[in-house]
Amino acid sequence: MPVPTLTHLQFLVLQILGGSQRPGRYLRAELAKNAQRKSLPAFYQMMARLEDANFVEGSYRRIDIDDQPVQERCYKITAPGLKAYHSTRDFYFQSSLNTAKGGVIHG
Amino acid sequence: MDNTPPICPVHEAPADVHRILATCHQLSRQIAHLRRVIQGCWILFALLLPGNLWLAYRVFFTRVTGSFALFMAVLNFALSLMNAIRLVRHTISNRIEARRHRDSCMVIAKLLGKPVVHVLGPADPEGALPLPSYPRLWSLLQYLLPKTIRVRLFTPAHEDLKADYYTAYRQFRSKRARRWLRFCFALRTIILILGCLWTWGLDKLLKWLTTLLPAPLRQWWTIR
Repeated sequence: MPVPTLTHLQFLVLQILGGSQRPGRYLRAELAKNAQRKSLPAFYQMMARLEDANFVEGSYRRIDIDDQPVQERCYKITAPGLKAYHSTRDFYFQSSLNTAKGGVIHG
Repeated sequence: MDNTPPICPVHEAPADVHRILATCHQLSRQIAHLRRVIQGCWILFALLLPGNLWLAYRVFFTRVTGSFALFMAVLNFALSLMNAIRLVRHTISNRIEARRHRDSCMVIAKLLGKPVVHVLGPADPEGALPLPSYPRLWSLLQYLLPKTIRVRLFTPAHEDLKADYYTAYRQFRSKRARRWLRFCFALRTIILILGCLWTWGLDKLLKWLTTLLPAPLRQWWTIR
């Protein structure tokens, strides 16, 4: 089984995204709940990298807060992103199974 | 959260009341502006003077400008009071923007000792006060950054900051609180710009460092 291309943080982001479109603020809050605090620029840098790798698709969505328009950045998982997520999940699942059995060599 | 009574739109005042109030309000604003200009000129003048003359002019002019400022303050208060009395005496039958008559509404509330919302009835959600827009200067600061960082990092982060700003601004209505909020968000915008530059610089440095690594290690790093 190949080594996953996603880091643990990217994996977590894709997991939070799931099948729906989520705003960046929501993702950041969820990451913070998982003890992954990131500054605003660092977070959006990470998301831009995920976009460059075509794992997520970003778009702006207009929301109004008391008639004041705000362009919120929203993200959605893409097909390659989903594939990478599944392969990473399978890798960790297989690894944990092997560990439970006493390791690959000694199993 | 401060205890300042909320301002709600004044419902259904007759057209003449609207006109009178608008004129009074405009006049009081002009007077306030004039007062600020005079005070500003005086400070500028005092600062421009050489050391010795400065004290003499200061002693002489303080009384004049002080008296004038006091007179203007009293006049301003009288105008606000007049607005308030007119507003209370007339039957309110037309909708007026509360923002334009903010002072009058506050005076009514103080005179009657009740929150404005009790004096004027419940606020209409459609006629709720709009929030002031995000200060343009802070948005203009983004042009200090190169376009790549601006689009990739700054813009989405800045929009989050704006949403946060509006949410906070909606909660606090007193002038002091709002001034403090403006200061805080200006500072946060500057920190955001510095953060963007730092992230971009670090990224560039890491990219350069990876070129020094051997090929397999570089490949492993670049996919991360």
